[in-house]
Amino acid sequence: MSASVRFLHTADLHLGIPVQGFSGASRALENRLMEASFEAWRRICDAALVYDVDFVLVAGDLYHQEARSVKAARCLQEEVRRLDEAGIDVYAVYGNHDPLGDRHELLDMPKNFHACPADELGFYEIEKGGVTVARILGVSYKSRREARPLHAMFSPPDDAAINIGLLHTALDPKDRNYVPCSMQDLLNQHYMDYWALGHVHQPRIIRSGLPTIAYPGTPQGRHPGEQGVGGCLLVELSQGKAGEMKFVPISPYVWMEIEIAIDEPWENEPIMNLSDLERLLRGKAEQLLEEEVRMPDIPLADTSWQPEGYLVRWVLTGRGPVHELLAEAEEESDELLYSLREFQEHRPFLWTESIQIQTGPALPKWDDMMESWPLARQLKLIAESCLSDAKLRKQLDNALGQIWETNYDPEHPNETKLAATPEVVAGIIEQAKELAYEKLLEGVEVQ
Amino acid sequence: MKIQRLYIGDFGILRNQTLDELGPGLVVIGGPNRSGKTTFMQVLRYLAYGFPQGANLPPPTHEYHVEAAMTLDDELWHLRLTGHSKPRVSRPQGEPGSIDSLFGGLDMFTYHQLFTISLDELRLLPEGVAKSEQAKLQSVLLGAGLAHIARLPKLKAELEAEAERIGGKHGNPKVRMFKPYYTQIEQGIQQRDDALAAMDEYRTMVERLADIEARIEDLKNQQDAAAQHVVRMEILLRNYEDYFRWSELGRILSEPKVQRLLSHYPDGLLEKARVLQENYEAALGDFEEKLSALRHQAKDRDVKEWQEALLARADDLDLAFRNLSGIFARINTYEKRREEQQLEERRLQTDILAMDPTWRGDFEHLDRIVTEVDEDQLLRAVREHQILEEADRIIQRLKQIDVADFGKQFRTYAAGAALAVVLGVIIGIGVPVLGIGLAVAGVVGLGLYYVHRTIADNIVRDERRTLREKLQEIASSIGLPLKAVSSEGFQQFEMRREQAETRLEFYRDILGLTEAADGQRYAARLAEFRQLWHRHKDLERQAGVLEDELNAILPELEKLSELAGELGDWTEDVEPTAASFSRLAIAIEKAWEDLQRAKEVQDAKIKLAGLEGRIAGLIGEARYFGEEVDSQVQQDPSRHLEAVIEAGEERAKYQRYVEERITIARRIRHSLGRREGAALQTALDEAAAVRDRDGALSEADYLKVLDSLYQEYPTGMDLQEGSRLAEEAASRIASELQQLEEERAELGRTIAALDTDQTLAEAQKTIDEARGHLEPLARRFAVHRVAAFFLDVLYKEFLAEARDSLLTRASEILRELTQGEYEQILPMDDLTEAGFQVTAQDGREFLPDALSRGTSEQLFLAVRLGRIQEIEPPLPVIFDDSLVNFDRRHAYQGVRALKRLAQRHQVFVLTCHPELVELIADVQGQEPAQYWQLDRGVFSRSDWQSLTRFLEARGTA
Repeated sequence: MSASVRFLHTADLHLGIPVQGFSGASRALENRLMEASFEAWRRICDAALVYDVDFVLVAGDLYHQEARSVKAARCLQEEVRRLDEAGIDVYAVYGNHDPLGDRHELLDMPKNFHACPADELGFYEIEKGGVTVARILGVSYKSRREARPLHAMFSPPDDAAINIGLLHTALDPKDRNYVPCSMQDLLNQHYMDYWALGHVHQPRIIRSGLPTIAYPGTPQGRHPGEQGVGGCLLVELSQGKAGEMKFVPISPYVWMEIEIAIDEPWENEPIMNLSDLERLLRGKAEQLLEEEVRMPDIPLADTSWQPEGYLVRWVLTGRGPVHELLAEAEEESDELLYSLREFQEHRPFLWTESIQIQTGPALPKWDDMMESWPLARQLKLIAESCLSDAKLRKQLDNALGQIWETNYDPEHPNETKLAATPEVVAGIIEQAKELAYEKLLEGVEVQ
Repeated sequence: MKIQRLYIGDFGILRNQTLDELGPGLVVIGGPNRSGKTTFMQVLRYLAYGFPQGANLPPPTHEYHVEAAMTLDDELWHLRLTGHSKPRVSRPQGEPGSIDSLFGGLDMFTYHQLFTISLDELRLLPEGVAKSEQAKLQSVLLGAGLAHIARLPKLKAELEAEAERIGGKHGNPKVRMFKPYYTQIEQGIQQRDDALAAMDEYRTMVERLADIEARIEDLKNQQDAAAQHVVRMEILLRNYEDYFRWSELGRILSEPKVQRLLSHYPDGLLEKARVLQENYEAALGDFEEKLSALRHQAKDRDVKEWQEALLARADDLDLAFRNLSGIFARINTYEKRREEQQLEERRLQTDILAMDPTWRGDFEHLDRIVTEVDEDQLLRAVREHQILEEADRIIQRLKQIDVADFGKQFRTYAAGAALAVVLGVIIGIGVPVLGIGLAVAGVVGLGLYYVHRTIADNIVRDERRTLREKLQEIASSIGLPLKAVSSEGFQQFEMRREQAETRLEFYRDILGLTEAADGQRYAARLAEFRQLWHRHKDLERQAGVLEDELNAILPELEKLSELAGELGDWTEDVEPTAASFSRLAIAIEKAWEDLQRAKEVQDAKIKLAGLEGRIAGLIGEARYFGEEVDSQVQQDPSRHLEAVIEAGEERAKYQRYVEERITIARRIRHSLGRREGAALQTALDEAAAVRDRDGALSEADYLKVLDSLYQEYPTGMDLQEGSRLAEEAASRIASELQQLEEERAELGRTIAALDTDQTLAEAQKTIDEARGHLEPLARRFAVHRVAAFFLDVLYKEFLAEARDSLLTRASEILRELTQGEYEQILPMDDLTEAGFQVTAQDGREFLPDALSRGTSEQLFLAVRLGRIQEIEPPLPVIFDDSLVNFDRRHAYQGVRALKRLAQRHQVFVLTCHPELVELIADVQGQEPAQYWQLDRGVFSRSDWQSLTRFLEARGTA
């Protein structure tokens, strides 16, 4: 009979960091959202107990660098102690958000907590019945940026036991900030059965064969950019076999960014005024609350799971008469916000983080205009080519203004500026194109 | 569109003018200056828009009125313009039409600038176009396609302005609408950095806390010992004075003399001695005081003798003193009565003198009156005299009656009456009435005479009788034996009357009355004399009584005077007066007071002697305390007594010492509470060891302990220093302990706060919130900037591609007008900028400023002609002497251009120049133009020759 182990693979806990955008929420909801990362960690430990795992792996970023509080350390300590009582050990590496450096844990951790060192490979053996059934190898970040090929340190002596590697990496050989390596690099390391990776916040099975390579994603999304259900992976490994993985949904709160086009009818009625718009948004909110939450494309450990609530950013797009109404008075959009925030009392609740208005006035369609109007055609061409044309791109970046950082570190962005991510820039280009079009058509009699 | 017929009913100089069958091509209207050409142009300029108010147009005679018939696509339209209203348009069938259909919806500004061309319109800034309208004009001149492009810089600027409003020129996060959120983020970051720094110190703090705990424990142990030492020092310091006093008293009380006094001096002796001393001193003082007072009164006398003298006459003096007031009263009464008596004497003398001014002070006359005048006799004499006086008067009356003849007068009367009767009879003869009357009166008179005579005789008789009767009565009353009332009788009366007068004269003389005095006066005078006599007698009696009283008082006064002289300073002769007696009484009183003093001295001396006896007894009682008493002292009871008292007081003092010592010991014991007891524990334990197990520690035990502790600090200064050092040590420990406890509390709080600290999360929340606000702003900024960027690119690209082809038609026209001298017209780099660039044949580029006037006008004409041809439907064009500045060569080319234009448009050429008419005729050749002559507002059809002549004639005129 071959050896096997069952464990939870988690990463990117970012303990201590509150989720964004709860300004204006009730005190109770605010408190919950402030402590969302703690709650997620508690739930992971609950899951470890429920699924009776042999151990728990944390692949980096236990803490959020900027929020590494005693409270966070205490939360980690208490939950690890709870696992200790159940005989479950925790193995962790520190990542770019909580590099080891000269730092130690603020609090004395229970003996079942094993933090991998940064200077050498951590090496731990899991025994069952006096026999080593698995080995856990791992190495922590020394600093925020880790250019060392840490993966190369993972050299288990043999395949007599299940070898599991704990590594925090972007899995990008060009990215010298987060252990530059490729999937192939990992595959090149002998005797490895499972690469428990961390850093990428979306759950992702990189490789399901042997060795298995996977990201569990962050158990709790922090902002609208981290949409969807967060969780961890429940892994069963048998010697010489690919791992069996199930996704354990954890995130108490699920981020959603919902785009609403104001130029599309709702229940066969066009959106002509703010009441229509409110009806539309509330209808969409109710729809969301009634629908099953969308899960990652990984088999689920628990199919009946439901989040406690949704954190929603509404993005209004399209062109229509409502645009002027929204533009005329800021209070009107505030009214909409208040109306949607009534859903914070529901179970599960729906908290509207914001309503982003990216609408425009009702104008002739591009397709119609482009035929007869060279200016429209030309404008569209410019908008489309400004990213690909190096000269235009440079001018575009300059046009964005100093507040936007085009050369940013996504993990450690300059907080006084905003990251001009490709998605953001694309959105700005699209809006700018619409605005320019709108301006061009101002005072022009369209035939 | 072409105008077929134009009727100008009322517009300025033009009135009731019809231009019928207007040509569809070139229409030349020639007229001299002021003939109405420009007025005509105004009519056409506003035909499609109505005559605006306030446009400085020529005024109507009554109301503007213009009508026109026009053809458009072979349809006839009618237009009617009245007043300032909009034109009304109708189609031939009478259907309403739209002016926009006729004029292609062209706005007035564009129509004006493009289709009604005077010299003004051929300038960079035509007359009537404001500077602000330059861009608009430029847009008109560049045409529809370029108008959109021309707006791009403006739109771009608007977008950039909005972007700048949000984030300044460069989108710097520290400015404009970004700024508050940037600041908030910075604050959040700072707050987070601070909190993270605190985290770094967390572990250090925990270790420091453990060290502090250990040190606090150690210090607390030290603190107990130090505190006990301080308490011991406090005890020693606090009890220092008591303890040394207690020791000192012990030393004093242990002396043999003190011991002896305490044990042998009888209790209560001191109080008795003090009472006796006090009494003795009081008695002695009293005696000396009394003696001194007596001595003071004694003056030069020997006190003792004088005291004895006083005491010897004590009874007399007491008696005299008691009688003083009685004697004084008697003297007073005597004196008063004597004064009253003297006063009465003086009054009596005055009264006597008043009665009798001749009185010489003797009382014999009074005695004579009283003895000689009998009142009854006096009254009888007076009465008799009065009656006799009455009788005399009656007698005199009777004599009068007898003498008088009362009928004489009546007889005269009777004679008269008888005469009257006679006369009456006589007269009656003559005058019967008068005579009768007179006779009657006479008769009556006689009658009356008789009656009266009878009555008078009766009266006299009666009176006489009455008088005689009365005289009889008087005579009988006085005892006069009157025989008859006659002369004899009358003599009797006279005699008696003389006797009565004599008696009365006697009385008058003795009583001092005059003859005039009436009868009553005699009696009254007598009564007065008698009263005076009685008063005189009373005074004589009172004088006797006073004499007796004086004789009684005087011996007593003599006695008193003698006593006062013997015992006092009295030397006067006493008189029986109040004043004199008062002085004597004072002397007696003083002597009596001296007697009292003498008695007091005597009493005080007796009392003193008694006390001295008692002192001798007490001294006998006090012969025990073994002290040798000085013999002199022994002799003096007073001093001896003092020695006894002094010894007693000494003993009392030592007894107080004994009590004080007990009190001090008790106080020291009571001042030692549990805390102090604990501090003295070791020594107390030793003390207890030498006592019974059950026996409580006594004051002596505590004192013994203290005694041993005090041995360590021989002086007060040593003790102070020891105390200071002990306190310093305790204070040092306490201070360190307090500091450590504060630090521990602070650390504890910090650690506890950090345990639950949300600062990091709060800071992150702050940052997130600010970024949440910042992002849509930044996005809006970027969207506007990128949109502006897009428009900029669009503008530049379009310009780069289309600039050359924009004014192709205009360039061709300019080329023709200048016969190839200028090749191309280009817009300015900024399309909205007024003006054009002109490229010459040699490739040089010129701006309008650099061109000659003629060329410049050619340029603007070319631009307009180019634009006119782009506009549908083709509208009539009016040129008002627009070619005057062209030289003949260029004018020729200009007319050619007009000719080409007239192939599509109806072209009105207004001119006053015959040369132009000739030139047009020349150029038109086979396509003759229509010619109209305009003279003082009147149109008439013409031909080119007539018109030329007309204009030449007017021009030379």
